[in-house]
Amino acid sequence: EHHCIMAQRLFYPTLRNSLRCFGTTPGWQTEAVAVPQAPSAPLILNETSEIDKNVAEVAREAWIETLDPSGENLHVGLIHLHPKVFATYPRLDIIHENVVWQQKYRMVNTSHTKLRSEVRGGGRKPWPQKGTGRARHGSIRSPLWKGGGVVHGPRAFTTQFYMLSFGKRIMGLTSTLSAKFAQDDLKIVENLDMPSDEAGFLEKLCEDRCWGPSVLFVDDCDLMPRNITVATDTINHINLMPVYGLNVYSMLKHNTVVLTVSASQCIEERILHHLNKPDYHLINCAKCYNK
Amino acid sequence: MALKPCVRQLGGVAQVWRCVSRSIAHQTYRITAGNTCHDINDAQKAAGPTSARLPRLRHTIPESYEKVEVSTAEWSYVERLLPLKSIPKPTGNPGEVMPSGWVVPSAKPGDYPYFVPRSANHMLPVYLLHKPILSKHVTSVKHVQGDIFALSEELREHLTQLLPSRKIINMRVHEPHQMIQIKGQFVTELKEFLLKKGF
Repeated sequence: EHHCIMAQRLFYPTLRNSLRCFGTTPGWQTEAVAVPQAPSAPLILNETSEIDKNVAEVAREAWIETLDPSGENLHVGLIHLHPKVFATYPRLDIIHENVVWQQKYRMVNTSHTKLRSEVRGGGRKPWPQKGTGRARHGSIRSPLWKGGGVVHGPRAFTTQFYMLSFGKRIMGLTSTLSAKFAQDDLKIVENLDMPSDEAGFLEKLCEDRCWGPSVLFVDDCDLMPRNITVATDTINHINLMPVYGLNVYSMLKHNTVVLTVSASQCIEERILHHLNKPDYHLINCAKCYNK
Repeated sequence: MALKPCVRQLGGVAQVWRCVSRSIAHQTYRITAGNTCHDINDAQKAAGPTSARLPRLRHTIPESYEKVEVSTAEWSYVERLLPLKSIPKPTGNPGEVMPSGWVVPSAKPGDYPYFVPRSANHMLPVYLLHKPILSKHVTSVKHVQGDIFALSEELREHLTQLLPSRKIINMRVHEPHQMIQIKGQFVTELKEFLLKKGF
């Protein structure tokens, strides 16, 4: 996969002029075919005819934009997004579960109560077993007593770690991507190359295009181009993220999610690989009632 | 098996914990740097007087195996044993019934006000939820796209026709989750209904 990404990087300067690429998706889709075109032909990507027609969802089309406003067009081409990734019916409950999981799995509870053995005192029998008319007790710090220890209270450093099932995490990603796309908050960009490394330039660009206050740029390689890295360094609400860091919480936290073409292809390929694999049912096989 | 300290002098090491056992299979050996893996007998000798002696083994490569031929002619036999990476697309004309009983879907999204696609494994999305202790069965039809209420009305009609004795059919139409839940066991009936429609 890495050599494919490197090959794409080499081809980027001539992308508009030479290649018409199909998506690198599992075997049931068409293989990658490079068709040489005339230099002025529009760039249309991922137009596969093998997408299942027996589904109500149709492949979505998105403009490919540039971060370089100096060219003639802001829209460089058109990309077809797979419906099973970008056009699913969003499951709001699954999105919620993902967000809660992302917040909770790293939580460590520090609330702490003392047991009867830890509370100061209470080693001695307060009064003899028999003779006094009082109830029998062994220690003044038993849970029955005021000021005594707590039996089943919270104990410090209790982890809240749990793993959400794989299918739910996949569905969370597809639901969030679909919801973002449906709400016009998902943008596809050719690459993250910017002409200037000033923060003000990037802020103005985002304002001009009505990209929300917070923007998340997702690229498939974790070494980002220099200019955008310098520009976003000082801005806290505009962030860069590699594809492997894509998560539901971050996508919801940022108003606009901007994917590069290679990132969207990588996301599609990985999610479709997991949705179409034959042993999907073996992952986190748990029978749920009423879910 | 008992663990006993076995004191032996070997290159300056005074003491070694060794598993002492009657059965030869549980013997462990400490093979020093000088020994090769072929010379197990020497290692046994070094391990101590109490260790049993296994027959002397010599691993040698016969001369006939020294010439290796690289061939890819048999790769197809290996490839057909490897697991599939993605679920294969089924072949067949729409509506065709396969020998196993599986039916190729023939309905298209525009035919009805609703559409019920097959699951990833090309099966009908009708499932039976059952808590094993209670006699509580719920049949659910999932992934219903389009006008889910239209489908629910048709299902209700169909079931009242099939079971005239039953007065109430409890149904739950969950639009945000694209599913219909019916109280009772109706998996076969619903699957037949959907197959007749062509889903």
